[in-house]
Amino acid sequence: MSPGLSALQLAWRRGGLRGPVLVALGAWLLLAYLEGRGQGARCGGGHHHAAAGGGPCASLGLIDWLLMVAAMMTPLLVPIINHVWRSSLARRRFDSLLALGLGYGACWAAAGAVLIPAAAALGQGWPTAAAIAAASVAWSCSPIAQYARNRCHRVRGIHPFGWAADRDSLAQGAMAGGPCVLACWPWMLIPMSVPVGHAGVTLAVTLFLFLERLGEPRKPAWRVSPALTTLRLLIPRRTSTWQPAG
Amino acid sequence: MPRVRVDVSSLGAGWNPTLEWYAKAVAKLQTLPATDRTSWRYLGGIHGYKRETWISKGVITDKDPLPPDTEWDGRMWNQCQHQGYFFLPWHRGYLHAFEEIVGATVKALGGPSDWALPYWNYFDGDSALQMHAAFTDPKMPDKTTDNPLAAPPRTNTALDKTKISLDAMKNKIYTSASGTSGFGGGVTIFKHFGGLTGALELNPHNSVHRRIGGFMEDPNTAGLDPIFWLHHCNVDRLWAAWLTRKDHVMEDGDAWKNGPVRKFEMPGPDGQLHAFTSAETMPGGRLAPTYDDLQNGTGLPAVSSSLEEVEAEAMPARLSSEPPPPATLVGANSGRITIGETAATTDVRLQPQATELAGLAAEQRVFLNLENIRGRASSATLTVRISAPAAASALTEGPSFSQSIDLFGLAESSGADGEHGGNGISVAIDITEIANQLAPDSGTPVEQLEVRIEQEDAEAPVTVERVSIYKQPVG
Repeated sequence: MSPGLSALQLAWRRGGLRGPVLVALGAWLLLAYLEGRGQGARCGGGHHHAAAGGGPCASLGLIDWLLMVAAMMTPLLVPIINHVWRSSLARRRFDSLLALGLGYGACWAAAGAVLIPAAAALGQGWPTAAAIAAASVAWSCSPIAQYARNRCHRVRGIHPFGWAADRDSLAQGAMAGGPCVLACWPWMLIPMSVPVGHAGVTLAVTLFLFLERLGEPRKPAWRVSPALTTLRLLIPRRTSTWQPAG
Repeated sequence: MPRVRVDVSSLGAGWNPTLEWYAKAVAKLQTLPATDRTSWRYLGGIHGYKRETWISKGVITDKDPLPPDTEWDGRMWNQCQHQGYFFLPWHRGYLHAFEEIVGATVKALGGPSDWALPYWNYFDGDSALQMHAAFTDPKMPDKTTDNPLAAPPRTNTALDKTKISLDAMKNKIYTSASGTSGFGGGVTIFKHFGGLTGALELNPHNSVHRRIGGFMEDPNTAGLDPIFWLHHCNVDRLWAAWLTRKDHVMEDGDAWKNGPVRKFEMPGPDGQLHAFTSAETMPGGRLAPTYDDLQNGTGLPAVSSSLEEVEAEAMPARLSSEPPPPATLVGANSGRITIGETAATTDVRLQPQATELAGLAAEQRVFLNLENIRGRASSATLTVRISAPAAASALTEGPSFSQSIDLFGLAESSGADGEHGGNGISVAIDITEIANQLAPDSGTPVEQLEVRIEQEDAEAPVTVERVSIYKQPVG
């Protein structure tokens, strides 16, 4: 088995992936269901009575938005989720994870208050989507995005007992959510700007952001997006045979 | 002809052909530009590189050409694996590449074709604590040429036997579960720094780096000191010796064996890059080394097996792809503490179940965790003291415990905007013994333990995000 698949299998067996995968899958299924009913979390379809598109983006609900965030961002949050899980007493784990989700979700809810109207103002269409995508790539290459990515996986201590455990988990959520918003915000506009194929575009953006997040922290500077660096490092390179010792 | 690695002290007290050829080869490699993959500086940069440090220490000037960008990003430079279960296989491949390049240079200079890297067996008696004389003599045997083996700055040329330990060899499982200490370290992906340190890495590896100081205490310069390679050769030998015991459980999961996903790469004597996996460093693999002895200075009881039986294909340790038993949290302190010139004391509160620690030690191992240790110094030494209330134990003064912890690569793992992360170093210390002393039937609940942490020669404050206790079922 390839080491990548094996690492995923190991994480699954240890239980560290199950929760996040189930949350993400659930969010994707709900998104697909809403998409099918013409109530998806995209601008055109977001107009609750206009499945054919063309409705104003401002009609996108907060629930739709957070659903989209849950589907896209949960896989990226796995190391933080595991940190809180491991750091909590067995009987408190679900409380702590709930607090983590609240802290993280609050950051994205605040971002949604700005980004949803912004998407509405920008409207839908392929030229608009292409322009946002280009701006998103440029943003990913910027030092400020790198600064934010460096902080996405930073962990803090979690108090083991009582309300202090919830407080610390909430703070951990905000600590991850803030930089996450800063690093990813323009990318979230892309799915809302495409006239059709919302789910596919959302998935593509998720994969790109996942590859970005796999990149190691680096000094903030203008440079190629770490998603491309990660891809380059994952592609086997031609190397010559190493002669046996002696 | 195979290269056989021998104890440097067995070569004699003064200069000898092996070390003289080593010195000549080092001098030759030091003349090569850093862009040459077989140069001394390129080989050192694979372990760690920081431009400001290299310039300030005179390794390069700000005008020296460096390898192309495509060889950075941890592909070649800044590649070393620490604080995780790839620490040992990565360094074994690194030693192999180094030995091949130095060996080829020795041969090209007119030396033997089977030159092999010796190891510094610092656990083989008090005299072995002193660095071999060839590493301190300012001149080569001709008395006129500067000796490159003695050139790097060092704080000490002898080790303190009270600071190094073979306790790591008592660990029976290679992989550390989260919150525990295994022989080889915690599960990671390809990671330069920032994870759960393995027992062998913590001590003697880190401790020797820290005691020698100078270039050796900073991962960005450590590989530039010729003694680095003899030290790592001994660490590698301890792993080889650990593998010769039937009751030891070696990691065999595909993620480790065929990993990491991003392959490790090393240059060969021809300057070409070669990828390798962890499996290739195991006995019988292409990169498996041969040592003259796997007994002296290893802390392991003697076995009747001959060397031939324990090397190469024969590997008595049991291979297992099963993850180690998971550990669970038992208690923790209330939050971050800072240790500077003054010590920090914190109370680690345990779960309400009073006998959580007491009485469990027979079936559980208990670990004190210092989570996410961060600091600005390249290395640091912490002394951890644990005491329990006397009433909670069968002893009149209460049990106590003290352990010194050497941290290597602290700044590297702490800087959020560096190349390496920002979550610091996590260390788990086995405190099963003190947990054993907490009498389960004393009638007094054990509610907390007092942990006091001091920093030796504090250069800069160190923070510990949380001090916690985990328990892990045995086997």
